[in-house]
Amino acid sequence: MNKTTIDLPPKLIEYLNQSRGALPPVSDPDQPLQIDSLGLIRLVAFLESELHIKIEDDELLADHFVTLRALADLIQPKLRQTKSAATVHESEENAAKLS
Amino acid sequence: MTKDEVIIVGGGPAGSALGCYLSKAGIKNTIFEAANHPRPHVGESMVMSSVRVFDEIGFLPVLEREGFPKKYGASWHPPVTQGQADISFDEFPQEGIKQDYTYHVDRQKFDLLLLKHAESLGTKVYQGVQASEVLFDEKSYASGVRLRIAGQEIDVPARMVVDATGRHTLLGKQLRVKQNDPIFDQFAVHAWFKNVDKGTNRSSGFIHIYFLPVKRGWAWQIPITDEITSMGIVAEKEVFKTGRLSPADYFQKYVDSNPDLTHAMRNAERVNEFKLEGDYSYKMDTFAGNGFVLIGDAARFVDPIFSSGVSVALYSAKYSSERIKYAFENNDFSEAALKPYEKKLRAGTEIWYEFIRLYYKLLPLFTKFIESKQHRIEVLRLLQGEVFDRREVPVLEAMRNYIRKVEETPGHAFAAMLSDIPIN
Repeated sequence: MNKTTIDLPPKLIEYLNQSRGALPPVSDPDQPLQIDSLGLIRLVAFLESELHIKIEDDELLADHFVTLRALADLIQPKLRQTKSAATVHESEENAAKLS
Repeated sequence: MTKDEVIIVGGGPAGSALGCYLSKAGIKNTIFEAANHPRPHVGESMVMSSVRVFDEIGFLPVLEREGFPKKYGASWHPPVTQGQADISFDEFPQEGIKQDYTYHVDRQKFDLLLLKHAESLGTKVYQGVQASEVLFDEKSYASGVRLRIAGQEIDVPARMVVDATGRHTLLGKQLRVKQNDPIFDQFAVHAWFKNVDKGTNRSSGFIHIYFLPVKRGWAWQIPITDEITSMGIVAEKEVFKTGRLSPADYFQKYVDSNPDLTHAMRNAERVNEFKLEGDYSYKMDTFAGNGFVLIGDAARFVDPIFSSGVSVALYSAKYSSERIKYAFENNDFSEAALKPYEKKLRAGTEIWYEFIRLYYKLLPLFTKFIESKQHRIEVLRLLQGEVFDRREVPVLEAMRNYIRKVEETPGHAFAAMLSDIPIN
């Protein structure tokens, strides 16, 4: 993954920047996110409710939330899963409509 | 005064509420209060369950008439960034409680009103009278109290004696049954301020708790009137002792340590002296014996983080009054007749204690649980003071399991926040 093309949903980037209080927005994928415990709890809740990504309790490792790059490594495989699940779901719906 | 009555030593919320219950049940009772009310007291915020007792003793109209600030919820502020987690009492309606708020109170005023309320129901009240010891007869039954009045000692007989002396713990000391808590030794520095910025949204009337970046440190913000706010800094006593700062400098140091608290206090002006409270948590080995019971803080004191104190006092009055009534009906004042009260109160206060212990063990756990769909209501139930008559509290087990998971997962984001409190 190169530095400029970190692939995260814009909604998530927007959420992260809005929840940073006085801290400047994140621009560099390797810049420390400086999320505290409340921030982390809310981020996990946001990922679940808005992006349908479940973070298991044993995935709540400090290393996964240090930078945007680390976060992307954690959630991209999960995003692909939700996307493919959604696609399957859609095709099932289409199949249902056709029959 | 006759031998048929109950002597209640102490006219704080526990003693006064018991006076109310006994007077309503037609049991003669007298309160001896060492101070002359009004007198200052810490412990200004209440949980919802208190409302049930106020309703039972007919005290709600007084609270409404006097216009005490209504408390609709609570907010927690993390130590580093700005932002808050809120709970609102209307999320969890409680059986037998017809309103969605409790109260913040100026304790000088509140304690006096409750004492007067007991008096209006038939309790005899003597203020400025200090009881120096509880007297026991030849069968080891409590049989009266020794009073100190104008340099003289006077013995007053009673059928039963209730220790409601609060943190003076009259019987706890006399019977040597007081156990200081092995874990919690906290210390508070507090005062009243004006011009505290409480914000303008609904949470401006809530209690606010600010986490501080120091061992078991937190601050309270409690509205007392429209103008005045009570502010307190709580931490382990060693933090205060090793800091070697004056109360004012110590207070300011920790106000500066939390961004939301700094913001709230930026224009604040102190209106009374700083007060210090130590000797935090303890329990007695026994809350009931032949002819006596211990209620409120005289029986048990847990860390005040969740505003449990007045509620425990009121429920100890309610439950002890049931057994005192039984004792008079059956002419049985034995330990066995009174012990069910102890069992009930102990079970409830142990739930508070366990909740508080798990809270301090891992601070983010609490926030995680109140922000979780699965656990929120069960945590609210505890926060609103529903700790009595409960057979099981599964959310405490879930909290313990979560702590174990954090302990066992290398590199967990919360691992650095685990404290050294034992949880088994």
